[in-house]
Amino acid sequence: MNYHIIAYSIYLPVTFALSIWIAKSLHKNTRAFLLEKFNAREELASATNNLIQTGFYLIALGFSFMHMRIEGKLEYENGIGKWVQMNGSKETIETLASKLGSFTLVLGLLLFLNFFVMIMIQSPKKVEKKV
Amino acid sequence: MYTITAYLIYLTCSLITVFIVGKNLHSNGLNYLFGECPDEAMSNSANNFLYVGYCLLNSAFALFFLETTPQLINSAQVVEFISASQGIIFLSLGILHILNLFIAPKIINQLLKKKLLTNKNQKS
Repeated sequence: MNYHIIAYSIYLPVTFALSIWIAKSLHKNTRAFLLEKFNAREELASATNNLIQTGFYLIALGFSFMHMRIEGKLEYENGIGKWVQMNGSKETIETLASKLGSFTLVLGLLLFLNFFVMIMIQSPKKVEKKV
Repeated sequence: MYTITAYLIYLTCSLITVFIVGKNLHSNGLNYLFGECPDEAMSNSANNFLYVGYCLLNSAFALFFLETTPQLINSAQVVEFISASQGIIFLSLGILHILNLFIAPKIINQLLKKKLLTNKNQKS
């Protein structure tokens, strides 16, 4: 069995599940914040919430797809790095751990990006008539 | 044989994501961008305009990106190519989307200030 395909079939569902779980929790929490920010206008708050959520999904899943490719394991011999073919369960677990770890790191950074967008987002404002 | 399956899967996945994201933005953009617009027909038409432009541009990007496929001789390479290409498309869509979230309200504010989103033929 090709160890690459095993690693891919573990990596993809885990990343999908993590990003969907975090997106659902962010949906609930940003809704309250946006309702307070936009003076309790429900339609506007839900619309901005959905927009922020689509951005989060796109970047999270995009990064998981881009990082999925496994070319081998990097091993160092006398300070020089070499790519070694992945042929064993030990190496699959190590590469999977590094891939999933970097993905969760990026997910954490995305969380902070989400907070930033939530705070700094502005909706178009009403034009006040000059008296 | 592998490249043709990769082309088909790539085209379906990327076009499906473009249209799903476009539909999502179409329904949310009405409330977000055009909530303060006094004219409802104008906001509907502007929203549809943006939706069509979005779908056209991004499907063009997805279709142009098909040209950069390498030679595929294995099913594992097909999976890797699809994941890498979808990743690039998703990331570019996401980054542009977040930039739009910051820039679009400023444009709409300018338009509302100059009263370009009202129907002058209608008598209020």
